[in-house]
Amino acid sequence: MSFVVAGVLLDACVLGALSNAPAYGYELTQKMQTRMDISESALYPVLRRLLKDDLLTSYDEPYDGRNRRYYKLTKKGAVALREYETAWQQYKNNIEQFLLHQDGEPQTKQARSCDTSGANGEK
Amino acid sequence: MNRNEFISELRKRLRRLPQDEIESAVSYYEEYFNDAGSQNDSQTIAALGSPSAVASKIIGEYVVNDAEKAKPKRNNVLLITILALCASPIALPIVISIIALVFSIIMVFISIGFSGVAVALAGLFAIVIGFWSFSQGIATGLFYLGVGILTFVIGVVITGLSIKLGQVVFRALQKWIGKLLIKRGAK
Repeated sequence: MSFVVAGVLLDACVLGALSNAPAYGYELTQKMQTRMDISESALYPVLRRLLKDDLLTSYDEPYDGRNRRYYKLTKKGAVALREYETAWQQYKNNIEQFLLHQDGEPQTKQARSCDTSGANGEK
Repeated sequence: MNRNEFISELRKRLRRLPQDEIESAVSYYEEYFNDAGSQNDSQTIAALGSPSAVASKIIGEYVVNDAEKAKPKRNNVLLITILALCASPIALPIVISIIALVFSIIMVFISIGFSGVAVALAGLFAIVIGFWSFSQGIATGLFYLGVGILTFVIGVVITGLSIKLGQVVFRALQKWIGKLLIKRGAK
Protein backbone atom coordinates (compact mmCIF):
# COMPACT_ATOMS: atom_id res chain seq x y z
CA MET A 1 0.00 0.00 0.00
CA SER A 2 1.19 3.50 -0.66
CA PHE A 3 -0.29 6.98 -0.58
CA VAL A 4 -1.40 8.31 -3.96
CA VAL A 5 0.43 11.38 -5.19
CA ALA A 6 -1.90 13.07 -7.66
CA GLY A 7 -3.68 16.32 -8.39
CA VAL A 8 -2.48 19.38 -6.53
CA LEU A 9 0.11 17.43 -4.57
CA LEU A 10 1.69 16.16 -7.79
CA ASP A 11 1.68 19.70 -9.23
CA ALA A 12 3.49 20.92 -6.12
CA CYS A 13 6.03 18.08 -6.26
CA VAL A 14 6.81 18.82 -9.92
CA LEU A 15 7.35 22.50 -9.12
CA GLY A 16 9.59 21.51 -6.24
CA ALA A 17 11.55 19.06 -8.36
CA LEU A 18 12.21 21.77 -10.95
CA SER A 19 13.06 24.49 -8.43
CA ASN A 20 16.78 23.72 -8.32
CA ALA A 21 17.44 23.06 -11.97
CA PRO A 22 15.44 22.71 -15.20
CA ALA A 23 14.89 19.15 -16.39
CA TYR A 24 13.54 17.32 -19.44
CA GLY A 25 10.54 15.01 -19.33
CA TYR A 26 12.30 11.67 -19.10
CA GLU A 27 14.81 12.91 -16.55
CA LEU A 28 12.06 14.40 -14.38
CA THR A 29 9.96 11.23 -14.52
CA GLN A 30 12.91 9.02 -13.55
CA LYS A 31 13.90 11.37 -10.74
CA MET A 32 10.40 11.48 -9.27
CA GLN A 33 9.88 7.75 -9.64
CA THR A 34 12.76 7.04 -7.30
CA ARG A 35 10.76 8.71 -4.54
CA MET A 36 7.13 8.08 -5.34
CA ASP A 37 4.83 5.62 -7.03
CA ILE A 38 3.77 7.52 -10.14
CA SER A 39 3.26 6.05 -13.59
CA GLU A 40 5.54 6.91 -16.52
CA SER A 41 2.75 8.76 -18.26
CA ALA A 42 1.60 10.76 -15.23
CA LEU A 43 3.77 13.80 -15.78
CA TYR A 44 2.93 14.88 -19.32
CA PRO A 45 -0.58 16.19 -18.46
CA VAL A 46 0.81 17.87 -15.35
CA LEU A 47 3.61 19.60 -17.29
CA ARG A 48 1.15 20.66 -19.98
CA ARG A 49 -1.17 22.20 -17.41
CA LEU A 50 1.61 23.97 -15.50
CA LEU A 51 2.89 25.41 -18.79
CA LYS A 52 -0.58 26.69 -19.64
CA ASP A 53 -0.90 28.28 -16.22
CA ASP A 54 2.50 30.00 -16.73
CA LEU A 55 3.97 28.28 -13.70
CA LEU A 56 6.54 26.65 -15.97
CA THR A 57 8.17 27.60 -19.21
CA SER A 58 9.94 25.33 -21.67
CA TYR A 59 12.90 25.72 -23.97
CA ASP A 60 14.61 23.40 -26.43
CA GLU A 61 18.24 22.51 -26.29
CA PRO A 62 20.02 20.52 -29.00
CA TYR A 63 21.23 17.14 -27.85
CA ASP A 64 22.58 14.31 -29.98
CA GLY A 65 21.22 15.74 -33.22
CA ARG A 66 17.73 16.39 -31.87
CA ASN A 67 16.04 18.71 -29.45
CA ARG A 68 15.40 18.15 -25.81
CA ARG A 69 12.62 20.13 -24.21
CA TYR A 70 13.55 21.44 -20.78
CA TYR A 71 11.01 22.65 -18.24
CA LYS A 72 11.86 25.52 -15.97
CA LEU A 73 10.11 27.32 -13.11
CA THR A 74 8.79 30.83 -13.85
CA LYS A 75 8.55 33.63 -11.28
CA LYS A 76 4.88 32.84 -10.94
CA GLY A 77 5.81 29.19 -10.45
CA ALA A 78 8.27 30.07 -7.69
CA VAL A 79 5.56 32.05 -5.91
CA ALA A 80 3.13 29.14 -6.27
CA LEU A 81 5.76 26.77 -4.90
CA ARG A 82 6.22 28.91 -1.80
CA GLU A 83 2.46 28.90 -1.24
CA TYR A 84 2.41 25.12 -1.62
CA GLU A 85 5.25 24.83 0.89
CA THR A 86 3.30 26.74 3.52
CA ALA A 87 0.11 24.83 2.80
CA TRP A 88 1.99 21.54 2.96
CA GLN A 89 3.52 22.30 6.37
CA GLN A 90 0.04 22.93 7.70
CA TYR A 91 -1.41 19.84 6.07
CA LYS A 92 1.44 17.64 7.26
CA ASN A 93 1.08 18.87 10.84
CA ASN A 94 -2.65 18.18 10.77
CA ILE A 95 -2.20 14.67 9.41
CA GLU A 96 0.53 13.90 11.90
CA GLN A 97 -1.78 14.87 14.74
CA PHE A 98 -3.67 11.67 13.98
CA LEU A 99 -1.29 9.45 12.10
CA LEU A 100 1.61 9.70 14.53
CA HIS A 101 -0.65 9.79 17.60
CA GLN A 102 0.39 13.33 18.35
CA ASP A 103 -3.11 14.46 19.28
CA GLY A 104 -2.16 17.12 21.76
CA GLU A 105 0.13 14.88 23.77
CA PRO A 106 3.87 14.61 23.39
CA GLN A 107 4.83 11.64 21.28
CA THR A 108 5.84 8.65 23.41
CA LYS A 109 8.33 5.97 22.57
CA GLN A 110 5.56 3.43 22.43
CA ALA A 111 3.60 5.47 19.91
CA ARG A 112 6.65 5.81 17.69
CA SER A 113 7.43 2.09 17.66
CA CYS A 114 3.77 1.51 16.92
CA ASP A 115 3.94 3.47 13.64
CA THR A 116 7.06 1.84 12.36
CA SER A 117 5.63 -1.62 12.91
CA GLY A 118 2.42 -0.45 11.27
CA ALA A 119 4.29 0.87 8.25
CA ASN A 120 6.31 -2.32 7.92
CA GLY A 121 3.21 -4.41 8.22
CA GLU A 122 1.61 -2.55 5.34
CA LYS A 123 4.46 -2.98 2.90
CA MET B 1 4.33 -3.25 -30.59
CA ASN B 2 7.32 -1.10 -31.44
CA ARG B 3 7.93 2.58 -30.88
CA ASN B 4 6.43 3.72 -34.17
CA GLU B 5 3.30 1.67 -33.63
CA PHE B 6 2.96 3.09 -30.14
CA ILE B 7 3.28 6.67 -31.39
CA SER B 8 0.89 6.23 -34.31
CA GLU B 9 -1.66 4.51 -32.06
CA LEU B 10 -1.34 7.39 -29.60
CA ARG B 11 -1.83 9.89 -32.42
CA LYS B 12 -4.92 8.02 -33.56
CA ARG B 13 -6.42 8.04 -30.06
CA LEU B 14 -5.82 11.77 -29.71
CA ARG B 15 -7.11 12.73 -33.15
CA ARG B 16 -10.18 14.60 -31.87
CA LEU B 17 -8.09 17.05 -29.88
CA PRO B 18 -6.88 20.36 -31.37
CA GLN B 19 -3.82 19.90 -33.60
CA ASP B 20 -1.37 21.68 -31.27
CA GLU B 21 -2.40 19.42 -28.37
CA ILE B 22 -1.73 16.33 -30.48
CA GLU B 23 1.65 17.57 -31.71
CA SER B 24 2.73 18.57 -28.23
CA ALA B 25 1.87 15.18 -26.76
CA VAL B 26 3.38 13.20 -29.62
CA SER B 27 6.64 15.13 -29.56
CA TYR B 28 6.85 14.70 -25.78
CA TYR B 29 6.54 10.92 -26.10
CA GLU B 30 8.91 10.76 -29.09
CA GLU B 31 11.48 12.58 -27.02
CA TYR B 32 10.69 10.29 -24.10
CA PHE B 33 11.52 7.24 -26.20
CA ASN B 34 14.75 8.86 -27.41
CA ASP B 35 15.85 9.69 -23.89
CA ALA B 36 15.00 6.23 -22.63
CA GLY B 37 17.35 4.85 -25.30
CA SER B 38 16.35 3.10 -28.50
CA GLN B 39 17.53 -0.31 -27.26
CA ASN B 40 15.02 -0.03 -24.40
CA ASP B 41 11.92 0.56 -26.54
CA SER B 42 10.09 -2.54 -25.37
CA GLN B 43 10.79 -1.74 -21.72
CA THR B 44 9.64 1.83 -22.21
CA ILE B 45 6.44 0.67 -23.87
CA ALA B 46 5.80 -1.75 -21.02
CA ALA B 47 6.37 1.02 -18.48
CA LEU B 48 4.20 3.55 -20.31
CA GLY B 49 1.27 1.15 -20.60
CA SER B 50 -1.15 1.03 -23.49
CA PRO B 51 -1.42 4.02 -25.85
CA SER B 52 -5.12 4.19 -24.95
CA ALA B 53 -4.30 4.62 -21.25
CA VAL B 54 -1.76 7.34 -22.07
CA ALA B 55 -4.25 9.06 -24.40
CA SER B 56 -7.02 8.75 -21.83
CA LYS B 57 -5.02 10.76 -19.33
CA ILE B 58 -4.20 13.48 -21.86
CA ILE B 59 -7.82 13.78 -22.98
CA GLY B 60 -9.06 13.70 -19.39
CA GLU B 61 -6.81 16.62 -18.53
CA TYR B 62 -8.04 18.50 -21.60
CA VAL B 63 -11.69 17.90 -20.68
CA VAL B 64 -11.20 18.94 -17.05
CA ASN B 65 -9.39 22.11 -18.07
CA ASP B 66 -12.11 22.97 -20.52
CA ALA B 67 -14.73 22.51 -17.80
CA GLU B 68 -12.80 24.80 -15.46
CA LYS B 69 -12.36 27.58 -18.01
CA ALA B 70 -14.88 30.39 -17.77
CA LYS B 71 -15.41 30.53 -21.52
CA PRO B 72 -14.73 27.14 -23.04
CA LYS B 73 -14.35 26.83 -26.75
CA ARG B 74 -17.15 24.50 -27.58
CA ASN B 75 -15.32 22.49 -30.19
CA ASN B 76 -17.28 19.35 -29.60
CA VAL B 77 -16.10 18.69 -26.08
CA LEU B 78 -19.10 16.43 -25.59
CA LEU B 79 -18.08 14.36 -28.60
CA ILE B 80 -14.43 14.27 -27.50
CA THR B 81 -15.52 13.18 -24.04
CA ILE B 82 -17.77 10.40 -25.28
CA LEU B 83 -15.16 9.12 -27.75
CA ALA B 84 -12.47 9.27 -25.08
CA LEU B 85 -14.70 7.25 -22.75
CA CYS B 86 -15.21 4.63 -25.45
CA ALA B 87 -11.48 4.50 -26.22
CA SER B 88 -10.43 4.45 -22.57
CA PRO B 89 -9.49 1.32 -20.64
CA ILE B 90 -12.77 1.60 -18.72
CA ALA B 91 -15.04 -1.44 -19.15
CA LEU B 92 -17.71 -0.98 -21.80
CA PRO B 93 -20.78 -1.58 -19.57
CA ILE B 94 -19.55 1.16 -17.24
CA VAL B 95 -18.97 3.49 -20.18
CA ILE B 96 -22.49 2.82 -21.43
CA SER B 97 -23.97 3.52 -18.00
CA ILE B 98 -22.00 6.77 -17.70
CA ILE B 99 -23.17 7.94 -21.12
CA ALA B 100 -26.76 6.93 -20.30
CA LEU B 101 -26.55 8.77 -16.98
CA VAL B 102 -25.24 11.95 -18.60
CA PHE B 103 -27.83 11.69 -21.37
CA SER B 104 -30.72 11.29 -18.93
CA ILE B 105 -29.51 14.19 -16.79
CA ILE B 106 -29.32 16.41 -19.87
CA MET B 107 -32.80 15.23 -20.86
CA VAL B 108 -34.21 16.14 -17.44
CA PHE B 109 -32.99 19.71 -17.82
CA ILE B 110 -34.19 19.96 -21.41
CA SER B 111 -37.67 18.76 -20.43
CA ILE B 112 -37.86 21.16 -17.50
CA GLY B 113 -36.78 23.90 -19.92
CA PHE B 114 -39.50 22.97 -22.39
CA SER B 115 -42.17 22.83 -19.70
CA GLY B 116 -41.06 26.34 -18.71
CA VAL B 117 -41.55 27.46 -22.31
CA ALA B 118 -45.01 25.87 -22.31
CA VAL B 119 -45.97 27.67 -19.11
CA ALA B 120 -44.73 30.98 -20.55
CA LEU B 121 -46.79 30.41 -23.71
CA ALA B 122 -49.88 29.70 -21.62
CA GLY B 123 -49.21 32.99 -19.82
CA LEU B 124 -48.99 34.86 -23.12
CA PHE B 125 -52.24 33.29 -24.21
CA ALA B 126 -53.93 34.44 -20.99
CA ILE B 127 -52.62 37.96 -21.57
CA VAL B 128 -54.19 37.98 -25.04
CA ILE B 129 -57.43 36.70 -23.55
CA GLY B 130 -57.15 39.45 -20.96
CA PHE B 131 -57.02 42.22 -23.57
CA TRP B 132 -59.82 40.59 -25.47
CA SER B 133 -62.08 40.30 -22.45
CA PHE B 134 -61.80 43.97 -21.45
CA SER B 135 -64.99 44.29 -23.51
CA GLN B 136 -66.68 41.98 -20.99
CA GLY B 137 -65.70 44.24 -18.13
CA ILE B 138 -62.60 45.77 -16.60
CA ALA B 139 -62.42 43.29 -13.72
CA THR B 140 -62.42 40.22 -15.97
CA GLY B 141 -59.86 41.80 -18.27
CA LEU B 142 -57.54 42.72 -15.39
CA PHE B 143 -57.92 39.27 -13.88
CA TYR B 144 -56.82 37.48 -17.05
CA LEU B 145 -54.10 40.03 -17.66
CA GLY B 146 -52.72 39.56 -14.13
CA VAL B 147 -52.85 35.78 -14.23
CA GLY B 148 -51.30 35.87 -17.69
CA ILE B 149 -48.36 38.07 -16.69
CA LEU B 150 -47.72 36.03 -13.54
CA THR B 151 -47.79 32.74 -15.45
CA PHE B 152 -45.57 34.14 -18.19
CA VAL B 153 -42.96 35.31 -15.68
CA ILE B 154 -43.01 31.95 -13.87
CA GLY B 155 -42.49 30.18 -17.19
CA VAL B 156 -39.57 32.41 -18.15
CA VAL B 157 -37.95 31.92 -14.73
CA ILE B 158 -38.32 28.12 -14.96
CA THR B 159 -36.74 28.08 -18.42
CA GLY B 160 -33.91 30.41 -17.40
CA LEU B 161 -33.16 28.47 -14.24
CA SER B 162 -33.15 25.12 -16.02
CA ILE B 163 -30.70 26.45 -18.63
CA LYS B 164 -28.37 27.94 -16.01
CA LEU B 165 -28.58 24.95 -13.70
CA GLY B 166 -28.20 22.60 -16.65
CA GLN B 167 -24.97 24.36 -17.65
CA VAL B 168 -23.57 24.13 -14.12
CA VAL B 169 -24.47 20.45 -13.81
CA PHE B 170 -23.10 19.73 -17.28
CA ARG B 171 -19.82 21.47 -16.44
CA ALA B 172 -19.54 19.43 -13.23
CA LEU B 173 -20.25 16.17 -15.07
CA GLN B 174 -17.62 17.05 -17.68
CA LYS B 175 -15.04 17.65 -14.96
CA TRP B 176 -15.99 14.43 -13.22
CA ILE B 177 -15.59 12.38 -16.40
CA GLY B 178 -12.26 14.07 -17.11
CA LYS B 179 -11.01 13.10 -13.66
CA LEU B 180 -12.30 9.57 -14.21
CA LEU B 181 -10.32 9.36 -17.45
CA ILE B 182 -7.17 10.59 -15.72
CA LYS B 183 -7.61 8.10 -12.89
CA ARG B 184 -8.45 5.14 -15.14
CA GLY B 185 -5.47 5.96 -17.32
CA ALA B 186 -3.25 5.81 -14.24
CA LYS B 187 -2.21 2.19 -14.54
